Amino acid sequence: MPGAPCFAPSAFIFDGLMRPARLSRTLHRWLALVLGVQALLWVVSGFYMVVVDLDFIHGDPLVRNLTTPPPRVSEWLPFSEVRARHGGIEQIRIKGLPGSAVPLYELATRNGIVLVDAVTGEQISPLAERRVATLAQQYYAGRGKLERLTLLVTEAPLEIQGRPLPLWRADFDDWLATTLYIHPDSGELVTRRHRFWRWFDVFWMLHIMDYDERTDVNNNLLRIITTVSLILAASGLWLVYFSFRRVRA
Amino acid sequence: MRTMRILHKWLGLIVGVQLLVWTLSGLVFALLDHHQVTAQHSIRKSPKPVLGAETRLREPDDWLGAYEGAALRDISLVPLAGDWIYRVRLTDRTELRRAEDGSPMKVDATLASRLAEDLYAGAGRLRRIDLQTETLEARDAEGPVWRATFDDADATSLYFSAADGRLVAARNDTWRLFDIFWMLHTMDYQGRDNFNNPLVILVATGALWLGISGGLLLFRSFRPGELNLVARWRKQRSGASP
Repeated sequence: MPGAPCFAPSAFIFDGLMRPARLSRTLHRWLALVLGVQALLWVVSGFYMVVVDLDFIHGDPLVRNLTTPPPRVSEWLPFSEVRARHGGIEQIRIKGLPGSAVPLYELATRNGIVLVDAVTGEQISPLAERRVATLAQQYYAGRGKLERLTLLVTEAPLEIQGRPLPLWRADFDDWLATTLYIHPDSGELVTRRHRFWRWFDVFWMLHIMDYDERTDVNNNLLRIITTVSLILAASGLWLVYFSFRRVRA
Repeated sequence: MRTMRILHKWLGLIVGVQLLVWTLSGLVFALLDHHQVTAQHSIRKSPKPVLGAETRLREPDDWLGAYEGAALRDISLVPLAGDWIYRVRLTDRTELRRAEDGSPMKVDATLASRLAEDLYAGAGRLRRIDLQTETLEARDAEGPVWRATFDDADATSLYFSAADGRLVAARNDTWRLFDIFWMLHTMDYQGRDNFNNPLVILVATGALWLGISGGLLLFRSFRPGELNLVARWRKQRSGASP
């Protein structure tokens, strides 16, 4: 198309008022130049998020045995006996755990979680490493092998930010690079991560433009860029109007 | 490049309005304070009560016979509105029993009101309590819920599970506004949360091609020298005053 877009503000506005088609085009080109990369990142990351099934991202097909009923036994320790032996109890739960032949008492106390054999009354938390390895394999529904088991004590990786430590990290050698996080006292599966979740997280970071914590949707960078992008999108629509009118004329 | 131009133009026509809606709703998300949206400030954070030695406990052995044949998941002894109760989770439902005598109990309107007033941290007062079976606001909860409505400025509502009295959602007008734009953003006009729906996938595919074609066109649309703003500015000035 002929004619250089005017650059001086006064001429720009004058030209825009006289020839709105020109203004919409100029606006759209220059805003696209400035915002193009982010606009492209938005559609690419948005595309990934809508196309990949969210349940798969959450790792639902990767795990099993998430609830295990407490095994039936003829006799177990009464709740009152458990209360007498432990202090600062905020909650008592009787439950099962994969691989356990007996029901277990899980106590939430002021000092954290305590796990007790409900038949003998013996405390089994924190769980032994071998026990955690067995648990990890029982939670895991994939075909890989348990590659590494690490107790995280001081530093939580970004992918489980906000969760209290310590936690066991169980890495599997499958193509999804599955990781299960297991509570060292309760033996519960806390969360799971895999390759596509990690990509999702990166795309999410790019989508909300919070490059540190990946959680703050109210950051100023996002606010400013989104505002200007609104003009980009609006000018594009405006341009669509003119570009179709021209064909008819 | 002509193909790209036609593609960009037609996709702009078809996807353009939704792209504008996405940008606008994205701006709303960025502007609305997320803490306000989650309504967490309306929930009181009080220390959890400790199970005292004087609390009377009727052991599950005495009443567990009632669940003969049912598939048990777990039994928890938990505090609820100042009392201790057993929460019996079965695979298909949850039931509550008083800790002191093991008798069954239900979360009725009175208990739900007590729970709401105990947990609410705002300036308003409880105005209504009603049982709802299908709600958009507490859509993550399973089964019926009690809705407790407060008369504060942001019209806060707390939702409690009718099965076990647990707080399942906290909503206010900021969240309600957010949620309308969330629906527009996910293009799930029924459940609002499913962003894997066919419509949004279709439109997002269009938007992806709009972006790619736009990027390619952008490369071609600028002439060499046009991006050198300083030189153009100088030229314009010298041209204006010969």
